[in-house]
Amino acid sequence: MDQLDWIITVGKCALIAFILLQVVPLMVWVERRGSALMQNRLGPNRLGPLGLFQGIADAVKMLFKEDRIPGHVHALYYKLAPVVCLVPAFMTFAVIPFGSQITVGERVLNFQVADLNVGLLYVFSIASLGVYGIIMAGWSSNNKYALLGSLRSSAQMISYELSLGLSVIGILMIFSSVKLGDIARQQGEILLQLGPISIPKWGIFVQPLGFLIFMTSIFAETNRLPFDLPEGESEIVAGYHLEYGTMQFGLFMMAEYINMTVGAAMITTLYFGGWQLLPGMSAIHAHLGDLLALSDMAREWVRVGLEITSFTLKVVFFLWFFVWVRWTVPRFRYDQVMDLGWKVMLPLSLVNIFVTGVLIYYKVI
Amino acid sequence: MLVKSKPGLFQRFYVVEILKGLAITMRKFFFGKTVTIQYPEERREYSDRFRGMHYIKSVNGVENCTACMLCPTVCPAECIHIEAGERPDKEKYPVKFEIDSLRCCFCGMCEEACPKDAIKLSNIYEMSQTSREVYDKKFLMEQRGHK
Amino acid sequence: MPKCIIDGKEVEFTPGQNLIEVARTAGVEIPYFCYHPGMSVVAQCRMCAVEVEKMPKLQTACSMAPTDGMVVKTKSEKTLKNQKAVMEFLLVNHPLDCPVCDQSGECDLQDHSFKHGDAYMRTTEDRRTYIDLDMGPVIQKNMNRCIHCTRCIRFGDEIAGIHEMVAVKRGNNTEITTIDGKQLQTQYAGNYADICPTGSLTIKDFRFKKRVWFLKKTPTVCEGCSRGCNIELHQDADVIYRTVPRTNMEVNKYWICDEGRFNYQYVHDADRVITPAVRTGGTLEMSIWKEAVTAARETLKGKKVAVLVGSDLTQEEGKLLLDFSSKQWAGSQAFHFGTPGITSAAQDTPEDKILRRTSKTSNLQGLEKLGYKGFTSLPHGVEAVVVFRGGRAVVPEVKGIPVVGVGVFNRKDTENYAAVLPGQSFAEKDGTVVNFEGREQKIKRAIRAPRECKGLSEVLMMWSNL
Repeated sequence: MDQLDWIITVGKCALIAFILLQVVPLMVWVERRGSALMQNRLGPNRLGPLGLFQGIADAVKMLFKEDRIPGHVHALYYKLAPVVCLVPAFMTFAVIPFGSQITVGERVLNFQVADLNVGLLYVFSIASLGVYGIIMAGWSSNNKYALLGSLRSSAQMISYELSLGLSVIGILMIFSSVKLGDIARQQGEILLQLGPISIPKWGIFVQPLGFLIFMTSIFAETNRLPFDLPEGESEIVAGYHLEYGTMQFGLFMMAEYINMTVGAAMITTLYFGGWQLLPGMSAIHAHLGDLLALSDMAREWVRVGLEITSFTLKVVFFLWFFVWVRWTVPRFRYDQVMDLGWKVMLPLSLVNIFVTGVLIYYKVI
Repeated sequence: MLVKSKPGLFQRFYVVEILKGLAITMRKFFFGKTVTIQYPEERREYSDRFRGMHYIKSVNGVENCTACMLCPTVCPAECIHIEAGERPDKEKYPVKFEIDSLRCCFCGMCEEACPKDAIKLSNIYEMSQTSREVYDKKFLMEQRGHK
Repeated sequence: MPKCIIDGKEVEFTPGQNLIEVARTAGVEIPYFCYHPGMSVVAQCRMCAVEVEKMPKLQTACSMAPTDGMVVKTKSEKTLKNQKAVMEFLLVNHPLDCPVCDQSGECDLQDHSFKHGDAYMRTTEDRRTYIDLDMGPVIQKNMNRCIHCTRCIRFGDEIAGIHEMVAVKRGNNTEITTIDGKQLQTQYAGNYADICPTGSLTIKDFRFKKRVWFLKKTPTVCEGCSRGCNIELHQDADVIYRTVPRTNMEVNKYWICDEGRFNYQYVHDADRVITPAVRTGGTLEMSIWKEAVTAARETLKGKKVAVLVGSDLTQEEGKLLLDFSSKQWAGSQAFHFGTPGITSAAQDTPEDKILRRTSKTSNLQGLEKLGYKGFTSLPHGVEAVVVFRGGRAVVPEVKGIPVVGVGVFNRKDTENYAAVLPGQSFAEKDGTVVNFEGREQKIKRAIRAPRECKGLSEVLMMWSNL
């Protein structure tokens, strides 16, 4: 790796971190406005156009509040917990491809921070670190509600990580790779040609059951409704971040939204073709190139731009889906969550693996 | 008796039901009518019979009140405190007339009990204060409702 | 016994009763204004007129002595029509100032107007008005409200023994006033306000203080003199607002004197010592109970003590003190004191022909019965004095030796006291007092004492246990 490679990598890191940070206030706004409109309300609409700056105002408020640490907490872990929560959320995004590659001169430019050989495994290993932050917060808060919240959270995460991991096995079997770049690339192949309509080999078409399980498990992993038991307002006040205020609480909230983004990106990459163009976009690409009489290099850049756009659009849709589901589906009871995880999701994911294996053996897919 | 509806097998599969729910929220999102009133700019219309902040009616600066104590008698919250006195132009008048609006329940019984039409409840409903002070006589005499 | 029939009910009566009293025993109420059981009957107001069978005209029940077999109808059409008419006549000139009037709530005119009168008036003319003269410090007059019942005139003539109220002019212009516009002289002026059926005569002291329906009433006994008049203390939120007489035909009938009526005022005196106090340096300083009791004990320790017990204390307290002082201060002597110049029950004589007596404390006879001797002068060799006082007894002057006070004291009475332990006044405690003829009567707690004022038994317990 020469100097330019370093610069490019650092640039990509910085860009992703910057974009992820911007997602948080935007999502807060989307969440509040969206829920308000679904409930015949207006939501925050005072600050900036359509209340868009509400998130910034919240952040400013949190930053300027007195950073008070309660006397009964374990100070070191109390302070560490939000960070431990937030950092893995950022790290996961490193292996997610948000575009294919482009060759500039001799240099191959990858739109992915690091295309690790163990890509998917890396995602799971890092994502499960997040639970340490929650446990730490609950334990160091020295408060029974907080502890209950973190206990629930860890139980929930362990239960659903199982079905999460198993549901992805099917994808690995079909694409026979754990590199996310490979998985995304292979989804561009055509699965079926029904006259003029060609169905791509997207994960959702080859693994519909796996998608459902993965989706549900991601909801549980990110502690979002209908699985927000760690926070369970009506039972344990605010759960693991009960004792937190100011920006420390803000960090927990940021971690939640960044986790959401990562979840949405994972769903996109594994089941919705990742950066693969949306239907119709390839036609736009071709027409645009012809219309503007672009050079080959420029056409390549336009292709990459469209790829990034389609990736972003898919991620945005799933982010919205998170919000949408949250304000639609009521919360599960704790035993119901466990029931669903162990009695439904786990057997189903095993069945999914078996069926996929059989299908692959008979060369159906 | 509570009749429990048992979900069928199809409903217990949830996915379709959840999709139905999503359709409902999306419909609300796009076509739902908001009922919010944008408070400082828009205000809710209140009836003339609305019972808000109290005031004491006065004619040429002389309060109608004769300190007959019927309002503190009838007040269920015991929030009115009156001390009676005498002065040359009035045989009996309230030296002190205090209403503790924090205790008041705005039942309007004082208004009904008053034989002199002196204590009234106005249309004013913005009564937030930064202190716990009670309304004194001067304050109450300077208040006017929208009536 | 002879019987008469009132509203269909057969009622027995003793000859000499009038129809109002007889009807009351049957549970039938006949409204009246001018009649008062304690005074002569004049039948002026005509409100009590009832229909009597075989009599062509209505008869005033107050002046009517029932005869055997008489049939009286108090609810007949004729009677009711008369009552309505009388009410209308009375209200022609009565101002509608119930919101201002102190009498409202206990006003006969108000009650009867509500029960028997009409809700509307037919007159539009102005009401007659008067300019009122000052009637002295006790009574506030408002002639506009008068209904000419002449109860006040009769009270002066028959009870108080002073002919000071008169009715001048005639008919519509009748004015009740004092002779030559003088101020009231009698010592019983408060009763004018009590008997007045309207708010025409009210008590100046009570003026605008409180509406009467707020007052809670406690039956008790006056401590103003050895008569022991039966009174009611009227209080609200632990503040006494007034005293009114309670009917007891064997003691005070319907009356009390002004001295007794306003006696309660020392209870709420701003100068009353209501916290334990100890003399440090030259002044009496506020203290706490433990320190004050310790200081009082130190003052009396090892000295020859004289115990002065006010004859305004109850029998229970007197007995307690007798036992306590003999145990606590060996060789001490206990005396009672109360009124200057009166040291024994024999000296307690009537002050006038009505109620007042010369002993100005309530329990002189009782303490004497318990064995206290009257205080004349300090016995030889006494080195310290402890004074127990209920609030009314006049403390004899003691000079040159330390004094400890227990009970109700005024700050200006305690100039040479070493310590004062605040106690409870007659309105703040229960107990028994014995009046001049040996009648034992109960006083009842009407209000709670100020927070630091303790009952005598509690003080003594603290004294011996500390």
